[in-house]
Amino acid sequence: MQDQNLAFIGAAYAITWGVLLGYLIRVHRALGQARAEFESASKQTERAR
Amino acid sequence: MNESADTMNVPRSRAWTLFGVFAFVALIAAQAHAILTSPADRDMGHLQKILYVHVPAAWITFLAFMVVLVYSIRYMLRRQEKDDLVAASAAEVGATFNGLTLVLGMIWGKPAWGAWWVWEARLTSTLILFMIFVGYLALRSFVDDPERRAQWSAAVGAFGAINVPIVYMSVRWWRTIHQIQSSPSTMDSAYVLGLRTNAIAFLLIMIYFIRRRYELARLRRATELIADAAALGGN
Repeated sequence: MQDQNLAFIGAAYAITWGVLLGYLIRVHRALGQARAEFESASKQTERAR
Repeated sequence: MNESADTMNVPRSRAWTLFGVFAFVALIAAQAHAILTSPADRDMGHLQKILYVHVPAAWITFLAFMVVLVYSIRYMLRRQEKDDLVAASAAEVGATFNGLTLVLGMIWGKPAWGAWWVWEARLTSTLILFMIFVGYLALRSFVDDPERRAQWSAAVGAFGAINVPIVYMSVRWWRTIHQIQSSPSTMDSAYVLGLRTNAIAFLLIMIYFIRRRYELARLRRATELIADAAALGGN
């Protein structure tokens, strides 16, 4: 029973870190991509002027 | 809707990167302290250590949705685009913590209650809250017109957040299998410090996530505005 509880505790912490790090990576990747698109669009606008 | 120069001004802050690093280090320290120092519970044994992630995740869910409520109302009153973007950012972060709360609750429920899921008031109302905000995010992805998207989102966001007190009080209004709210007043003092430090660490992470998600929303919107301006200039 005690070993089984340790498995549940381990799963809870693993899932917590998986969700937090997963969301962190997702947002940072999207930020990098959005920043590149923003800079590209800004440069195109400057060139058009 | 006011698409001010503020939307176009997208700063890049190193301070927020440091804040994020600090938030995650704080969580590691808080979890290590809580896991290593908290005694086994009389009834639940070491299973109570799940409490240090499940309860803060639930509190942060409520808090993030309160941010949605405040900024949705602000948007309705002021029609400022940045209020809509903050509400949307908080809704996504809140839904993430809400999903995490549900999964952690299931992991707690199996050994504690003998079932992964029970259709009782707290679990069911938390699931409904989650579904409302998944709907909110789906709505935002389906509506192209920024003004209409913001108006509808503000209405759904405010409606969804109103459910937070219902979820919070559900354990008292409908006494079922779920224990009453875990708070310093209802817990053994041996667990209070661990719960508080983990809740603070989760709070810092929530602030960091909302800030980064808001930055992303502003960048995307600014790029859209440049594209719109270029298209108008080309005609």
